[in-house]
Amino acid sequence: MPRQYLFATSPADCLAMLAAHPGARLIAGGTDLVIDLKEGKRQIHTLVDITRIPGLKIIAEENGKIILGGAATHTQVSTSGLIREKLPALAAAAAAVGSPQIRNAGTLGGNVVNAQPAADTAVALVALGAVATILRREGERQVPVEELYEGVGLSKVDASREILTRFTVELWGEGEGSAFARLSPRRALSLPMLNVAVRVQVVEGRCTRARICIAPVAPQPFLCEEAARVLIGQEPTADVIARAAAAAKAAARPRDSLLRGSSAYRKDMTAVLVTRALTAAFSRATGRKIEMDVE
Amino acid sequence: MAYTVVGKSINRVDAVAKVTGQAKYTGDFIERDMLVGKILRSPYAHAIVKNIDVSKARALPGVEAVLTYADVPKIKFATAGHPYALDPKHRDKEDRTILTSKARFVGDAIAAVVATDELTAAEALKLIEVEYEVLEPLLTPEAAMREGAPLIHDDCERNILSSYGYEIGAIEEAFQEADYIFEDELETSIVQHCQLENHVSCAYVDSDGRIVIVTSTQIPHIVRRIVGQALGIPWGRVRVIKPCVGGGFGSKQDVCLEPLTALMTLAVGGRPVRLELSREECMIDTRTRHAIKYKIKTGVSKDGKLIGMHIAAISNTGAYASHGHSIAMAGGTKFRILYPMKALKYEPLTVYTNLPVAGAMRGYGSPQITFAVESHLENIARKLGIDPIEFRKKNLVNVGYVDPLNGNTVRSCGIRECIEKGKELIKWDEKKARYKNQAGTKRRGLGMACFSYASGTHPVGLEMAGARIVLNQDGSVQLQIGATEIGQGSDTVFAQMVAEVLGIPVDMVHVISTQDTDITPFDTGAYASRQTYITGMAVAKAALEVKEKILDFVWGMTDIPAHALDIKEQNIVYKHSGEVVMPLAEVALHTYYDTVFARPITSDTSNNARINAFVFGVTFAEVEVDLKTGKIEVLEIYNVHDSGKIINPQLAEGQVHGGVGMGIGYALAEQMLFDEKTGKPLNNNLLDYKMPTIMDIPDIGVAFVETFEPTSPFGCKALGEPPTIPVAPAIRNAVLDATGVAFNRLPMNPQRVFEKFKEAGLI
Repeated sequence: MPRQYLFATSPADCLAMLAAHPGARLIAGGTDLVIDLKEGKRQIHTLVDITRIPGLKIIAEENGKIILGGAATHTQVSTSGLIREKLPALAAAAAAVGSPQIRNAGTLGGNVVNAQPAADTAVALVALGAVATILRREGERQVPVEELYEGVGLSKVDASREILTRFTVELWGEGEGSAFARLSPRRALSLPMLNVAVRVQVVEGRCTRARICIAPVAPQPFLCEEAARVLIGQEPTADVIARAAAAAKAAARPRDSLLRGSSAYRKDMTAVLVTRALTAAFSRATGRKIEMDVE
Repeated sequence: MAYTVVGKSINRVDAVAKVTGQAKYTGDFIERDMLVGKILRSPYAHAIVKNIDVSKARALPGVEAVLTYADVPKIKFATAGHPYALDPKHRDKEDRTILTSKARFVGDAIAAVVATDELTAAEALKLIEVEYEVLEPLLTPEAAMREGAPLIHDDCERNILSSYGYEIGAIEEAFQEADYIFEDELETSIVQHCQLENHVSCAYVDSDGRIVIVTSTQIPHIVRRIVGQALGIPWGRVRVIKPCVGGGFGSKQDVCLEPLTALMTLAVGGRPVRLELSREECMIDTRTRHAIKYKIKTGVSKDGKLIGMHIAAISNTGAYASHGHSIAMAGGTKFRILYPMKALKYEPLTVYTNLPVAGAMRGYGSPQITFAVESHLENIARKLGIDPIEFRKKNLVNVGYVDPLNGNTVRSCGIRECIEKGKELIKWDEKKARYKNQAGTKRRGLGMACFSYASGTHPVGLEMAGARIVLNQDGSVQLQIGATEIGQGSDTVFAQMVAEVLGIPVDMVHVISTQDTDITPFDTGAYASRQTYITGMAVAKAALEVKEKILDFVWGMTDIPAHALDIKEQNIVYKHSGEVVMPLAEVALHTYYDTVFARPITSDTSNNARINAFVFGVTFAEVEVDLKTGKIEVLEIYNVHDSGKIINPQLAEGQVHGGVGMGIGYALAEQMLFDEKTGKPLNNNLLDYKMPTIMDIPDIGVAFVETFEPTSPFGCKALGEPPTIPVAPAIRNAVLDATGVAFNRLPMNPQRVFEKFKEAGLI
């Protein structure tokens, strides 16, 4: 159990505190970390709290980009008018996390650094192509979220010497749409059996960009390029969506789990959720409803 | 009959104390220097302890005692919260000791420690070294009954705990006579109560050398007896106190912790010890609901009359008997009154397995058999092409019917009105027409299911209840009952009954909510939906006695004969005119202080209710099924109950809300899962065990058909458990209506539903 709990007042302060206390670790919402500590899965002497650092909860649009602070909570993200309008997949994903109490405390940065394969907002951030800004004493780096994973529960962000200060999502402009779909045994306090986030752009009637992220079908949020490729250059029809969904299903490798569903079921559901998310995203992108019933 | 307090939605008598946090639960009971107990649990489902070394644990500073099976009395005892049976043949199965040298499920209690604090106790458990000889885990009744399977308990052949059933009429003849025969196989899953307050108890030895146990229980007087039995000490040496309880649903109609807590305090010279289970422990080492498999064969006549039914049941009772034998029988008894037929044969097998112990849980076997029978009847109606509601109506019971085996009589019955009300609430005919030809991936459907249940356990069990009333100096009264408030609202309805009889407002009835076996009248406890009906009789009897004594006293004061008097609005009045004679408070003062005639008024009454009352009801459900994912959503749900006169409509409605929520979880999501090879629990926590949240439950519609039950002083009947009974089959029948696919297994979770749709060629 930790013996010391420190509040950092700036990112630099946080890094200094981490450096001054070897074995210290950064804590944001603590919704995962505190459970690990209680269960004795981690031995940490000093915790450095970043939730009081000014600016670390920012949600803003700057120069065609959306900036999200690493300590922005799921509640802030899901209720932000800006995010609901510009990045609806992320707003929906944040609203699906845990329960109101967990959403009030848990942060976007934590959801990524905890490195669970099906963390809802992480899945959305990968689909949106978010880039994380990470500070350490030696300097700053910018890394796409999907490149931050080293394995289940293992992040390339080292919370004992680094701080993830913000995510940057470039706005694609005219004709873009995103959506999030989730299958879970109940509506709250439930890890997903499967979740999918997609982002597309349609220019002059054809899909020009697409990102599809599916989880948990791999050790990390799975950015399914095979499925995205099917869409590029195509008119977003039900048939094209179905082909993309089939490609996603073929590429997905979910595990068998008595608790979260069999591999076969979740493969079938991959096609269903990808279809539903793409249909919604293309509808948003084009302002047209796409006839669904061909899943 | 016109009531002034009964039938009104008055606030719970404990509402303010509970919402302000002033109510004291067992966990709030703190003695100075209280020690902490913890249990060492077997990691194996079936294993013999070859060797156990506790020396390191004992040596740990802060450890006050370490107990193993070698330190507990060599006495086998039964834990089921039943009244004692004078007839040895009717006693519960005595099959366990307080700690065991043979683990029978993952989590079985092998050893225990008492330490100065939680962390030390947890540390001490890690220092206990146990060598196990691992045996084959028997995780299904089929595996347990297999020829040559190891025995979980040495005295039960093929691991069968009990096979007691019955036959009414001649079943084979009935099948001969029937025009059609239908057969189905159905099964339910293991679920858990998940009451808010985990199991907890504290114990110490008082200055008289008696063991005092403060515990979260539904059955304080029975706990006293069972602790006495388990420890081999006189029952009077045990005192049990039951403070506020945060729910039980049957898991606390069982003696889970108290004998061990008592032993713990004895092991530390009588110092106070608290034993509190975590949620994870609570879910494996208290009780669960039996998973039961049914094979049903039914003979029906051309015109849709049920002629005979044969039900074979296999009930998985887990590692110890608890209520197992009794639940198979109770379930097989209470459902049968609904549709009387010529012949009914019930053959249950209750089988030990190496899984957590199944015991009493809301409905006590009825949710299982009602799921099976109401699903089966729905299948039959559809095969016969008869409207499922008409089919049921052709076979319903009438007032006057007498159960051929137990002699209980139907004296009030509103099931037909319940059905009509439910149809109307859900707009059955209109929606049925609308959903006739659906296409697309989302389909809607309507379903219903009926149930019958009883009010208490007569004639199988004793129905004893005690009440004590004292008239205070100001004209208010104290009410003491042996029946236990566990959140269901019994204290409030008893207060209403007393207020009604004595003509005083409810806030002048001071209910002593805590049961203390030293001072509380005897009552067998909160179970079998018995309290309002059974204990209500004792409460009414005591109140009437106090009223009679008051009026007699006034006769002495005024020369007005008692039979000409009544009590209304805290005044003694003339019965015929309502004219006030004197305030009740004045009479009360005289009963205490009249220097010649003073005689404080009390009543101390017991009532042995050798009677029962049948209750009925129905669930109507509308669902939407997503064919692509297998997800079922309950759009609307209505429960309509005939529980006789409703004493407090708001409390009754709350009871139905809770029961329907529990039923929806049972239907769609809840299931305890175990590793198929080792029997290790996979989801004994509230994250992985998917109880529905408030977000998953639609608005619940509640209605009552208020018949008047003549055997109850206020016309009331049972309501506690029933709301949960018909919910799962109603939802199942709605899914069948929406999709044409007949599910025969609970829960209907998305994956299972999806797989079944694939199998049925629907997708």
